[in-house]
Amino acid sequence: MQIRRFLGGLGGVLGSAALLFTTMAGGAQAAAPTANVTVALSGDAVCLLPYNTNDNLSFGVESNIYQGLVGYNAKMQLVGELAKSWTVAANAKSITFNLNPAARFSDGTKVTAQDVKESFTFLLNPKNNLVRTALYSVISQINVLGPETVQFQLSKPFGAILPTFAHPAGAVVEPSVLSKGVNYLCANPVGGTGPFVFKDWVQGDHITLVRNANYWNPANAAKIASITYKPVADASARIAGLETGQFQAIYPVPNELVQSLKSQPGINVQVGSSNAAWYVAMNTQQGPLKNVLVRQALNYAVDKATFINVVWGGYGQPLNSPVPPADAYAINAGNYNYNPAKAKQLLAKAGYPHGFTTVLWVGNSTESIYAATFIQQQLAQVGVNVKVEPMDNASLDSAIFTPTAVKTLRMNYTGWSASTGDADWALRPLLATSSWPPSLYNLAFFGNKQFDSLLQQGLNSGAPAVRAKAYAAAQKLAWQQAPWIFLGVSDNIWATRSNVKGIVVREDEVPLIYGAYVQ
Amino acid sequence: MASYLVRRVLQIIPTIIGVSILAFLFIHAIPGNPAIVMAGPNASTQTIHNLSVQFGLDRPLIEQYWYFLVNAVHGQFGTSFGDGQPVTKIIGYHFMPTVELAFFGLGLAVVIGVGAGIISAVRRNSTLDYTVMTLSMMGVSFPAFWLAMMLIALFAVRLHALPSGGDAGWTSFILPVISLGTSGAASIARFTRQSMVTTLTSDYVRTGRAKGVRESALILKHAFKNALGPIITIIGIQFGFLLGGAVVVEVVYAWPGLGNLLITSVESRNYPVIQTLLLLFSLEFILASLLVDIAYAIVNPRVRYD
Amino acid sequence: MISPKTGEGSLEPRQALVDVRLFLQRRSAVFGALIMLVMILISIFGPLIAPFSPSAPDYSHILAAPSLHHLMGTDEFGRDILSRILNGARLTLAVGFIGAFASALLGTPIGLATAYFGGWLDDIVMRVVDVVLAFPGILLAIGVIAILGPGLQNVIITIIVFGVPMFARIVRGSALGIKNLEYIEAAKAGGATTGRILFQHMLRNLVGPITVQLTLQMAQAILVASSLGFLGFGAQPPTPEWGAMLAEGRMFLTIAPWVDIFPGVCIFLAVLGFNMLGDGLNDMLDPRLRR
Repeated sequence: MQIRRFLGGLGGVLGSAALLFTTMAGGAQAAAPTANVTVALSGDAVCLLPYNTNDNLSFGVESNIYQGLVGYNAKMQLVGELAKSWTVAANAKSITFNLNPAARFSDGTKVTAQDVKESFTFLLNPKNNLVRTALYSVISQINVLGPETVQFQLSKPFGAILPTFAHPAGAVVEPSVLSKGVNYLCANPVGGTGPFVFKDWVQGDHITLVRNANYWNPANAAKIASITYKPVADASARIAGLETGQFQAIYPVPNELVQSLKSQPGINVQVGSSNAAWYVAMNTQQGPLKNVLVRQALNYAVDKATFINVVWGGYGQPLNSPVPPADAYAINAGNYNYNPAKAKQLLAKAGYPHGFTTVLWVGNSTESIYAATFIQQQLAQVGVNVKVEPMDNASLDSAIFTPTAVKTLRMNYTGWSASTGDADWALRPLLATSSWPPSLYNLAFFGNKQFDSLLQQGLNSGAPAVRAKAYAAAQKLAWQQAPWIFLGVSDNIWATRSNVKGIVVREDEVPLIYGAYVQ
Repeated sequence: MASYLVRRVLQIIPTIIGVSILAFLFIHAIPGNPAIVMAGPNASTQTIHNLSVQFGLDRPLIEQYWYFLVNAVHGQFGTSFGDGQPVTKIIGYHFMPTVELAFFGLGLAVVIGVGAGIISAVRRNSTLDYTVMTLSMMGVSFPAFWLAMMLIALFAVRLHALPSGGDAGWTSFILPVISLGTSGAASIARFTRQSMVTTLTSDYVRTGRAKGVRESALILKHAFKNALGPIITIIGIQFGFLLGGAVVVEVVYAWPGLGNLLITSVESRNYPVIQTLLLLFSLEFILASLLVDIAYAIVNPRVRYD
Repeated sequence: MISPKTGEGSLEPRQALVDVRLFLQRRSAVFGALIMLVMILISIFGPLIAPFSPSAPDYSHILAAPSLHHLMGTDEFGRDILSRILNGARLTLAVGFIGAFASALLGTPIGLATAYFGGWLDDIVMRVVDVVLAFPGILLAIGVIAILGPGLQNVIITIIVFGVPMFARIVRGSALGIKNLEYIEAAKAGGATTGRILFQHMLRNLVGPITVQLTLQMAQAILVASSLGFLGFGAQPPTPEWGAMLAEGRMFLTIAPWVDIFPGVCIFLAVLGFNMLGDGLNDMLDPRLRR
């Protein structure tokens, strides 16, 4: 016994001495950070050129390398990045940016208005087959008004133009690298302006970024030497790696594993709200779902609070509008409180006293199937018989993005996060008549002229007050018409080692590592 | 011997071609348009169409297959959909992890299986024999993925003794190799015992024993050598199963190998990668069979003259 | 008697195929038969004796550990796992039986025919068999399911796709051993039609190897079906198929392992039972192994 205590004490003394010496040594060396942060994400990036990126994981990696004229900070607030000021024309048909004169590409050359023009011209060129061309297609002309002033003219009024430039796809890429072509840039993201530069990418194994020695903005320069991204599809493997210290940060953390992770010493679990709305889209053009009473009934039939507690382990917020609270111009549009009796009443009133049978399409991840099975159980209580059909992504996409989908789709459990953080992008692709598949994501095939015109009012003006009024009316209308079973807003859950700070998953589900530092 | 080899190799060629056709048809029969997957959400029909044309997806199947064949013969296996990297490069990244896993898995299976089989045969009908054979029976009955999950639950989670994922150095190999090699070891053990019993009770060995040859020499040199035929066969078959079992084990352990690559490629309808992978797997299986046949022919010369 | 594994041996027209005493002597074979019996009983009576409905959720008792109230605990919706297992047994057995029997039904005639006629028919058919079997099993299964779509029916089809060539090859091997034997030559000389020779004379003597292969295929079928279920290609929720239960429960492995332990044990026992039974039958039918 005594020997053990003695050894323990000795160990303690030696340990403290070692700590003292290392701190002193560390303090003696000054500026250049040496720490590397390894981040384990749920998969590998797909393409690291922002112009050709659809997934938040790739956007997360790109956020270290590239910047746009404006962007969203960690708190999802719109801030200037390469631009220090901007003006949106009153008629919402043009926007002018004044560049920050200090802005530099990673090779040290100054970012000029001409560079911005060439960069966006590349994005807009249909021959490049970029997936993000459509997002910026409202731009009709780019004018260089001065060495640091660039103006974008739009083909029609577009009040949401500023948030569109804040979208992660709106990066400025050094024109001299654009000639290397999309395939090269997808695998070698060079020519950026951000606090990190690309080092290497071994597909399926790791991506390494190193600190940009020429970074132009000392206010948010990198505080670590390098970032390594590792794709780890299995959540338990991510957690195991975090526990052993192999990883310094992981995302996402499945909600059922949060409790056990929180109890581990040396680990910090963080929960943040997101702007991802989760819902069941109901095809408003087919069968019983054509009737608004039926759709409202289904909303009363699902216990949203229990959904969040059981399926999400409590990690989520209620959804009271098609626009989640984190997005600009969101309002609380109403309440469908859990009331199976009322649901049955409405169904009877609509002519379905014995319920009906329908099909729910869903992705084949375990989380999606979990949610879909819950919905099935809830609707069974009011006599609606739901057949769950899980499909892998490719099959689901092929089934939805085809002109016959309006006849074959009935219900689909899915989520949406507006990367522009703006009510327009939260509503238009999902509920405007022009967004019926295969062109966009209006899986409810919602076609309401009044709603469309309200959306247009929101776009026609750049004035916040006008847009707020239009979107408030649009949300109330969509809520009452219930094209969806409104379920909830998910939380983002990530975890880091306790001594690693500054890592945030932004509300649009993009993990931001560039602010990381190690204590 | 040489003519036997040549004959066997020639016999393989139509099989390989048949496999490539089957693989090709399979892939294109799977519903789901890769161009849509690549284009992602919010892409215009024009982009989808352009991607289709760019990857030759709009050409007739026969033409697509012909290009694939011609290119394959020249060692060109195309570029991966989505990230545009050469298929050979992508497969190269995932190749060694699977080979290592299969090698160690087979190694474990052979060492334990042959060893247990010999011991069981020598001590046949004893309690030891009965125990070993029952364990083998159980070994082939475990679903590989369930065994993998149970091992993770016990060693990685409850005891925190071993890693459950791909990256912690040599310790990462322990659980996956056990999961993979168990059923192989069990199969090999049973076949080894059966084959050894046959030779141990044969007249040849009994005569040797009567003449006073040392028991260990009898077992290892005479009985075992003559029992090798079926043992080699079963090892070859197990190698084939190992390749398939590796897919499920790789998924459970998040092992960055070819099995995982196959699953993710099927998810994203990455035709060039799927095609090349299927061809690769089948080639490995066929080559393993060939090696087994050759080894069998070396051990048992009578076979060559059929 | 014909050795099921190597196809060698001599042919006697009258043979007691079933030596029950020998069968009972091997404990493992008896165990296997018992397991099969229990499974059949559970398939028939399981739903009747299940304490809860297999699909009834209980949101206030999700992921409850095994207790007196829920002998095998509850899953992520609070459904009683024991009840789900009792209801799922018939699905597992159905897949095993139907898959294996259909493979035997289709593969046996092919094997017989190619062995008997030989020549180019044999060459072509065996080439095709080689090609199909060159695909590692699980890959073939994934491919077929990817084309047909998930679901238990398609899982059975997948098993048949792999099982038919297997049977063909094995039956052919055994049939080749007896094709030229005196008994068959005598029947031919006596003017028996081809059909009669194939199905009456040859088949009768292959019942042994075919039965053994049947039980082994059943075990294999159950394994493949549960693997496919685990990969998400098999039965879809809320079907209480054992492989699908494992797939659903995988995300809770670290916090509620009983969701995975019990269905897995049941699959294991079923496969073990069929393997033991097949092994016992094999030993019983093969005199060379009596020692």
